[in-house]
Amino acid sequence: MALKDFLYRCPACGHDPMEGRGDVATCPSCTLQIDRKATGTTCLRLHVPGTEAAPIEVPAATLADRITAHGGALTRATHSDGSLAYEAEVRVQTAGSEMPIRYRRRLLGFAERFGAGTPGILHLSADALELRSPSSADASSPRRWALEDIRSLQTSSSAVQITTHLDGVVLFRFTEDSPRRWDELLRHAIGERWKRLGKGTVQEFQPRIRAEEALP
Amino acid sequence: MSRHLVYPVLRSAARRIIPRLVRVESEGLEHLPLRGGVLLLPNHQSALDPFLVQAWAPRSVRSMTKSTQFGSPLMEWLLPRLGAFPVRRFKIDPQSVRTVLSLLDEGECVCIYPEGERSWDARLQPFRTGTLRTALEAIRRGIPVVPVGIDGMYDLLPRWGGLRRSGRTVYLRFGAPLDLGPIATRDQRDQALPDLAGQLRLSLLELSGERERERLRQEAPEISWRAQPIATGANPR
Repeated sequence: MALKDFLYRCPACGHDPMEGRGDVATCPSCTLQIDRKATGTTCLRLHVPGTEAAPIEVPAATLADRITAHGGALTRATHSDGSLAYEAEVRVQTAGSEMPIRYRRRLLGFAERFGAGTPGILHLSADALELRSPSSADASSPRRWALEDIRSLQTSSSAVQITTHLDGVVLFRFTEDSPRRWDELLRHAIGERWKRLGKGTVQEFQPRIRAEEALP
Repeated sequence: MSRHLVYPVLRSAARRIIPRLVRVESEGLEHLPLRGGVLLLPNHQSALDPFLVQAWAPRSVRSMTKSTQFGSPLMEWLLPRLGAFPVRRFKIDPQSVRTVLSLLDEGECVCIYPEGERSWDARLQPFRTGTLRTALEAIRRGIPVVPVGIDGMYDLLPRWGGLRRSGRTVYLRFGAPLDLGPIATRDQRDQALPDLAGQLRLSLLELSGERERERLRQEAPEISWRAQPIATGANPR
């Protein structure tokens, strides 16, 4: 992953998306550059190339709050008619059977093995998550998961993981986009979908999605 | 459970390698009993946190580890020898709870990261309810539950970046065991859940240095962000 996966939009001007590689993220709109500070306490360094202003050090938490204040992931995914639509290139993997993990004949737990990754375009709307083939020549119908059928949601390292009734655990690795952005978008979309269906306010997304009413 | 040779070898390697990257100081070791079951609940800033805890704790530690880490034959062989056991985070996993409680009953030191994943911005995240319930059951059994603050690993290896020497000291702080009073009945246990979450949060904010960082952040002068129109690149429908 890279700094732009964390700071996916500009904390200063709000431009979305940020550009950059590794430990440097750059805003193509206001030219702000953010990089890792050499020493410090969870701070990042901000400066605008070509200006005389000295770089300033800003806590990562402050930058994250600024992104939230700009509207987070929602601004770019919400279109002029108010509808939610967003997509990104992914490699998708589905978990196969679970295998027992033993040590010295003791059962420690279970782990799943994932199949080979296949490329696709992941499309999120207000009702569903769809995986489309990246090739326009592929006429097969896309895989579709209604948002209310998603049982759990979480990020796992650089991937976003969902669990569904039919497909079990499905893992999306984003080729260019930020898993943090997708986690926020999916949380929002699933939460809104549950509200529209009268299922309550979602309180937690893992180990399973649960609404307020269902909590003990 | 006796240890495989891999554990002390890698523990010793971690104690040699990590100090080449960063200065490490451990505090509050008096709160960690050297014998008997004990449950450690650290905050999670970096992929190196398990190495730090296991290398600097004065006893062997068994760590709950996400099941996807066991996905290759090498890791499936190695991780149990490093004291790790899997948890399926995408569903309620009764086997992982059984493993935790039986290890604690056998007198092992078990470590669970209650946030369930690494923080993006070094701040403490919400706790997983399942971990809190497991901790509550441990307390009900008379097992000490020790909050552990990790402070500084984010600068060394944040979730989104690579390894880089930060030049600062990393602190590993063991706090006083959480104390909730009697929790014999199911009703008492349910009532104790928010108390446990609150107590753990307060402890970890203090031990991880976040309370101090937050104070400095609030007191810092207002940043003059450049006034620019908010622009967003179009995402295709």
